[in-house]
Amino acid sequence: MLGSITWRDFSKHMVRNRLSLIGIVLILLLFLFAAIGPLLAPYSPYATDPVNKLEGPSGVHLFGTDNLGRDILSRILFGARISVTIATIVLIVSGGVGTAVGIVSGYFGGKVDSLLMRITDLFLAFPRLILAMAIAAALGRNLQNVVLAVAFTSWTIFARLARGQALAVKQEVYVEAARATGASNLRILFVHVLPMCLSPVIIQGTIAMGGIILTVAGLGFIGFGAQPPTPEWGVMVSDGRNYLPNAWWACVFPGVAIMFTVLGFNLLGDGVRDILDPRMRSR
Amino acid sequence: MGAYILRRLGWMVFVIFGVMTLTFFIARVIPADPVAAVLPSSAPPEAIEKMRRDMGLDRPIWVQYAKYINGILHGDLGTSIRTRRPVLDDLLRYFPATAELAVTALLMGSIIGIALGLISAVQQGKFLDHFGRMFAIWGLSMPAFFTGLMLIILFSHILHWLPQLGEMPSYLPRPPRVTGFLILDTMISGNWQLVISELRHLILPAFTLGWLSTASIVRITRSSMLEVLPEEYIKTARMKGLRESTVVLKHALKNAMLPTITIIGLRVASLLEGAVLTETVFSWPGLGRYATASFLAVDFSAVVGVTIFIAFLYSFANLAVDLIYGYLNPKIRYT
Amino acid sequence: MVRKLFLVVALFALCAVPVFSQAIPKDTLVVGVDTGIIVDLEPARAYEDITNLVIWQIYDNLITFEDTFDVIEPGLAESWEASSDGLTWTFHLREGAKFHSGNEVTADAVVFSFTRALALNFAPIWMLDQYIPSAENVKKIDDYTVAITTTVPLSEGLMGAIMGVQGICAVLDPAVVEAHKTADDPWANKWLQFHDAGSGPYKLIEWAPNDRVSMQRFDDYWGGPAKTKNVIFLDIPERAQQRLALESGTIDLALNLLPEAIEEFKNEEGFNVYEIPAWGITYVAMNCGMKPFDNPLVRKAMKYAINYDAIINGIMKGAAVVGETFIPVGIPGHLDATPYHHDVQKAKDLLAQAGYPDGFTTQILCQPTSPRREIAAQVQQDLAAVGIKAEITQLVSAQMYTLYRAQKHNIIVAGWGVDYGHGDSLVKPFAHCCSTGSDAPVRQLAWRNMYSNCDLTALIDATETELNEEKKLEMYKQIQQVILDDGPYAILYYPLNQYVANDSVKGFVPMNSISYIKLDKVYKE
Repeated sequence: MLGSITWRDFSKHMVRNRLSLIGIVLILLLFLFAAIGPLLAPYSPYATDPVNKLEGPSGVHLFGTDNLGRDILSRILFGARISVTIATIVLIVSGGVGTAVGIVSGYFGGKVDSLLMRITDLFLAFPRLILAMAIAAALGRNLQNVVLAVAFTSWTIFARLARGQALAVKQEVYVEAARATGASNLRILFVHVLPMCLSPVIIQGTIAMGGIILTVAGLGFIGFGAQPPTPEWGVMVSDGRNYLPNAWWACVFPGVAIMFTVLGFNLLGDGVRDILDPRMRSR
Repeated sequence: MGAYILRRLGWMVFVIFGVMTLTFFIARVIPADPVAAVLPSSAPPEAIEKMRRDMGLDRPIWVQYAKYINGILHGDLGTSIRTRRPVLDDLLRYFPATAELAVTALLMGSIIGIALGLISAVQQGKFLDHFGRMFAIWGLSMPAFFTGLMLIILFSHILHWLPQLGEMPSYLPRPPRVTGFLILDTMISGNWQLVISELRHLILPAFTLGWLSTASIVRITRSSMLEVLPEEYIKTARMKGLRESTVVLKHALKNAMLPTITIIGLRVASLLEGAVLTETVFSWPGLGRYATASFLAVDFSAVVGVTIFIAFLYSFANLAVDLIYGYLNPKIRYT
Repeated sequence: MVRKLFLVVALFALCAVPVFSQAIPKDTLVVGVDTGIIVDLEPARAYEDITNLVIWQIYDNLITFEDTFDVIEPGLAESWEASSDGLTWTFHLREGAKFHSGNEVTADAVVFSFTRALALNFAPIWMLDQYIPSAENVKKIDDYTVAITTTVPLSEGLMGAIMGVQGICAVLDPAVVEAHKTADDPWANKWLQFHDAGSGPYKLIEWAPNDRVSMQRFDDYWGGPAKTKNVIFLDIPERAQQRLALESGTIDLALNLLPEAIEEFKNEEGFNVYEIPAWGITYVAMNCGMKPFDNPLVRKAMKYAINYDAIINGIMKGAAVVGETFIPVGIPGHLDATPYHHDVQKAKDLLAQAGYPDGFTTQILCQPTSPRREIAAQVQQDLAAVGIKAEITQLVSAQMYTLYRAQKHNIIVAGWGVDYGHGDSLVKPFAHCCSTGSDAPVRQLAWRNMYSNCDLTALIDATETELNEEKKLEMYKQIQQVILDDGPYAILYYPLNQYVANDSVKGFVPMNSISYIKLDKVYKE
């Protein structure tokens, strides 16, 4: 699927598509803020100041203060780093687990494949948020467990993808050759099969990022999320919603932050899917 | 075909069984005591112990599991610690509200999605194309609860166009419960004014929920249309002198619908997820609220019951979609 | 095809037409409240505030309260007197009081109701059976006279407080209950979850869980028909929504608004704010079984370290009153003493004296709800200022109470709701603890926090048999003083009950306990 497109074609298409260009810009901004945000923040995100709680946007506090008097802008900047970190860890964990399961399943085939795919289907039968809630409820409500819970529910799509790649690679001549020269299965998996999976998995990862961030925010909203005083965006929206509509800044600014972040990934993902869609390319 | 259905049903049973076991044990792993939380903090320990015994929570976990399986075979999903009612009763009570919401959301999302996808395809590359896709993707980029709150503030608080919360006006008692579905029950009671009011109450929550689905529907409609539009028979229809709108709507759209319907079917499942986040915001008395409350209270039976129920609906929806797809597309043969 | 499209659009447009006018009719009172906490409406099981609020409109007790808990008013009983030894209270029922079914309220109904509550043995029964352990204690003297015998002599104040507990001490219609009993449900428990067998000013029309409770006036009520015909408790769990609903006129009265919203309504035209100290105590407790809280100097240091002002005015935004003793203001036995205030230096000195000049590390437990987690964050900050490093763990009720009841916490931020309007309901939970093991007779807050004080416990046991109300209250004050000096609690405040109603609502009387608000005198102009 991907073999017929070079990376150069890929970037050319992406830039030409206006929407995905916007997406790329948003994502770059996100990573920028994740990297240097904490340096830009005018206040500490943890400094409470109950006397000045729920002050509106002003020269002193650009985005206003929350219900404990903390500066919202600072918290959003620190939160960027948290969101990026969470999403990356989730991707690495679920991508790793999923790819591992997938290539083992595809390469070995037979009973192993059957069993692993059945397990995958089992996880697919759960609506993601519900399963994540169940796991977070079981393990306890903190950030680490949220990451685990979301990763737990996201790996299946990578498994499917990796399996497809493994099935294709299995047939290749060089794999046969490697086996003939006595290379162990493990070696073949690592050296030959795995590299072929990286591109599609990474691409699928970008497409899935948006959904992952939303699931984490959703969990934060319900109450399974970061603990105070961590400035995670989903929890900020959940806290702030009690003060709508008058002190709207406590809820709206973090919500908009989530929105632009997820929008960026979604636009990018959309552009990627455009390129991969054979129907599009025929034009 | 019959064998296929049977196999799928069998698979569904297996999946639900697995889901149930998984959730059952996850729920019990938690170091929490739902009984202690359900009773007020002043309840003496004796009362807590008694309740725990009454609910059978003091038995070893295998015994509880066996009892639970036995119950399921008899149609009993256990009793909720939080509501003290049979979980099945609770599920049946709350399901209709979520169903009404989900169906309306799906309808809205589909109509808007197909319309936007159509326009995007016809106007490919131009402003309306980008606008349509942006609108759809935008809906997918916001957490459902945020969308809901913003829409409420805009359409209810500021513009006063639509009701703010609930399924029906605040000052009326509910119509007598016949089917459990509010709109049907209201129609049965003959109060047509109330039916229209209830439809109005549905608009904002259904739109909030449906907006999430428009993205994928727009995308699939657009790409299907783009595939169909250059086809020979479309060119022929144009040459025959038919109006463009007829060509697009009657010929192109009809043939592009097949993959769209599949996608629409797949969205059913995610609607259930979205309901969890939307119902609290809109004071909607459905499964989403019940699920949230049950998970927060770590109400074992309810948690497992809800999960099974949702997994069942999920699998059922997938099966239905596959069957409809197979029916509509004679090229597919299920063996 | 285009025609079909027009039809669809037209249908949607039709829905945009406001069909019902926004204003609530004058004969209906809509109350916005989070009803999620209601389990069911079975009176023998009613324990939570909101459940009791609903029950209080539908059922009557022998006695009632008008606008204060200092005076016990006649309910279904017109008068009452105690025997000379104080062990028996005789109640004289009023004649002609009717149940919603039309049946008359007689002594048989009273005996039946208590028998039923004791037989069902649900969680709240402890309030009754701590003094009235069996149905044998409730005897019919004649059709309108009932005699209740208690295990220890009860002063009038305490008797009233117990008889006034909603639900368990409610009088049910025996005929209705009998009509709905089944073989495995001899007390019609299942039916009563959703229906009523009461005599109160309102009849239950329907309880739709997570949606609304609908009630209608009972025209033959013994106290005269209620002023407003219909009452609806509308479930609005989302705070912002409850506020919007009040502003838009979707509801008349809001019971769960946050202090910030209340502040703004105070300045808004067309709304009235009602405030009254609540039957509640919010406190920070320390587990004396965990070092270094076994050291009384450390406990005292904590009480000086906390910034009460920031909590009451900052976090609670004035929706609370200062209170450092465990019997809140408004309840007989309250000790008015507030010796502690924010004093960083004093706290540091006490810590140094105790042997912790550089502070220590510890953990704070709280629920993930407002204002508890904000208070925990504030306490964390305050402790940091005196050198104590605290990590916060937020757990849902289910998990938090498990830890708390297992005595496994270090510091906890929690609240206590008063069960009935007498100091008696608080001394045992807050102060009774000699043994900290599982053999202790009372395993409430003092026990959970492993505060063992056998002398104090003996004093509490002595209050049980004290018949003289004044002396009893004096003993309560002594007990509170000891806890104030030495105990494991830094009591932060008594919350204020705050309600907002729009201008058209008249006759609304707030009560120290939300569950005792009577709505039958409320009307709309």
